[in-house]
Amino acid sequence: MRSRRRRPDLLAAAVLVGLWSVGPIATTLLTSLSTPLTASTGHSLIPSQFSVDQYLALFGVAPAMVGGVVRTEVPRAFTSGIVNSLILSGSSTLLVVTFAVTAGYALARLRFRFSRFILVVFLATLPVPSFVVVVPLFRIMSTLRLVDTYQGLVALMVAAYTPLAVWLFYSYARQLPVELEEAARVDGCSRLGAFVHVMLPNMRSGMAAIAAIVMLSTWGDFLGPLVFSNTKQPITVVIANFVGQYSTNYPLLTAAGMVAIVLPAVVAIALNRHIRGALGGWAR
Amino acid sequence: MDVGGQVRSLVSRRALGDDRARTGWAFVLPALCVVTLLAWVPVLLGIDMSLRAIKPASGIPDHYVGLANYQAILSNPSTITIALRTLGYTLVVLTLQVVVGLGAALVLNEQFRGRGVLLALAILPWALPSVVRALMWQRFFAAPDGFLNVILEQANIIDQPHIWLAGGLQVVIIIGLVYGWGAIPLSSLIFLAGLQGIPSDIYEAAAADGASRIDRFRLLTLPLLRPSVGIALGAATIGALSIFDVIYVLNGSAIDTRSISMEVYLTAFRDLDFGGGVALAVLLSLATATIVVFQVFLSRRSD
Repeated sequence: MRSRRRRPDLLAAAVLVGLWSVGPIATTLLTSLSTPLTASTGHSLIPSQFSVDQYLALFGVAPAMVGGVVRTEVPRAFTSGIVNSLILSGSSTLLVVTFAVTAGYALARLRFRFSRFILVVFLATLPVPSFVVVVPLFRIMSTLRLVDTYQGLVALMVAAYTPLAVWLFYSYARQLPVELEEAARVDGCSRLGAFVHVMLPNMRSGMAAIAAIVMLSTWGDFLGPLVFSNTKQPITVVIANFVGQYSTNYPLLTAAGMVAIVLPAVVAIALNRHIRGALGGWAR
Repeated sequence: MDVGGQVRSLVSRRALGDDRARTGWAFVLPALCVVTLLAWVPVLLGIDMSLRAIKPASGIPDHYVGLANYQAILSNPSTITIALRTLGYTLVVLTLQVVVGLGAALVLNEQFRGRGVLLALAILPWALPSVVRALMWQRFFAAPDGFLNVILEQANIIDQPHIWLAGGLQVVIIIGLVYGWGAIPLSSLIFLAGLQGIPSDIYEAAAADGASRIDRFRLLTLPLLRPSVGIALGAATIGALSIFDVIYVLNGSAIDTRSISMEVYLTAFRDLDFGGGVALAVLLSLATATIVVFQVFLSRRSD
C-alpha cells in the first residue's frame, strides 16, 4: 500500500466529494433554522438568528405562520403525511422484500425450466416508464374503488419496485457459494429446509440491502401517490403541496424537508455497507 | 467441482427426489402474479387505451380511433420541442454521471483516512426523496434572494438578481443538475464496484513498463470499466428520460420546462385525455427501451 500521507490532491478531491454530497443538505438545514424574516431578507448563508420555531410549527407545538396568518392546517397535513409515509413505505417494503427474496433466490439458485424466461418477464418491465402503468392502473382502481386507499397505494408501490428488487436479489444470491446448499442437502434438508435454515441466515446482508433500497424508493415515491392519493397523501406529496402554497416561508418548507429526510438518511448511512455490496454484485 | 461433490449431489438428488422445479415455482409464483397483474396487465390495457378516445369529461363514450392518438402526438409541433428538451435533460444527467460520478468513484477507490465516512455520505443524495432534493436546490437558485444570486451579487459579478429557473437552456441545465445530483451516487457505486474488480497487478505491470498515470487510466481503466459504464448509464438513462418530480417541484407545469412525463401527466390528469396521455407514455417507453438496448449493446461489444 502506498503512503497515506503527502497526498494533498487526494485530500482536496475527497473534500470536494464530501461538499458536493452534503453541501445542499447543510444549507437546507441552516435555512430551516432561521426565522422567516432573516431568510427572505438576509443576504447570507448563515442566519443571524437561529430558531427551531418552524420545526415546532410542523408538529403543532408553535403556530405555523405564513404571510402573517396562522395556518392551522400545516401541522395536520404534515403529521398525517409522515404517518401515511410510514404506513405505505413500511408495508410495501415488507411485501416487496418477501417477493424479491423468494423469487430472486429461486431464479438464481434453483434454475428450473423457464426460470430464464421468468427473469426476463421481471426485467422487461424496468425500462417501462411509470406512467404507462399508472394511467391504466388509475382506471382499474377507480372501478374497484381503490383510489386513495392504503391498499391501492401499496399495490402501486409493490408493482413499481418488485421487478428491480427481484433483479437485485437475483444478482446477489447468484454469487453465494454453492456449498452452502449442498451441505444442507446432504444433511437431509429439503429444498425448503435448506432455504429456511441455511440460506436465509446467510443472506441477511442482501436482504438488508434490498429492504433499504425499497424503503428509500417507496419513502421518496411521488408520481404514483400524486395521482392516487387525496386524503392518504404521503410526505412527498404534502411537501410538494407546501412548495406551491407556502413558498414565502422558506424556513417552514426546508424544515419539512429536513424532517422528511431523517429516516432515509439514517437507513442509508446505517446500511450503506450492505447497499454497496448488493449494488456492486448487481453491476457485475 | 470435485468428483466427491458430484457424487454427493447425485446421491442426494436420488434420495430426496428432485423438488427443484416444484420449489422454484412455489417461490417465484407470488412475485410473478404481482408483476403480471399490477404491471403487465396494465401495460397491455394501456396499449389498448392508447388506441381509443377516452375523454371522461366530454360525455362521449370510449371508442376505438386506431392510431389517431399517435398521429395527433407526432403531428403536433410542440412534441419535437418537448422530446428534444427531455433528451437535453438526459444528456446533462449522463454527462454529470460520467464526469462527477466517475471522478467521485476514482477518489473513493483510493485508500485514505475517512474513506468509510465519505462512502456513507456520498450515498446520501441518492437516498433522499426527489421532492426534497428539488426543494433543497430551489433555495440555491431562487430569485431574487437565493444563495447563487446572493453570492454572485456580493462578488459583484451581477448587479441585479438573475431569474435562473426561467426559460431556455439554462433551466434545462439546472434541472438536469438537480436530478443528476440525486442520481450520481448510484453511478459512482457502480463505477466503484467496477474499479475494484480490476486486478491491481496489471497496473503494476503497466507502471513497470513505463506507462504514465494518464496512460494507465486511458488504456487500462477506461476499457476495463466499460461494462460498468454501460450499466450505470443505462440505469441513469431510464430514470432521466422519465424525469418528472424535480420539474414538478422546481417549476410546476411551466411550459418551457415540460418533459415528456410532465406532458403525459397534464394530458391524462389535467385535460382528462387518457388515450392521448397513454399513447405518449407508450412512445416514451419505446424510445427508452431502444436507447437502453443500444447502450447495453455498445458496452458489451468487444473490440
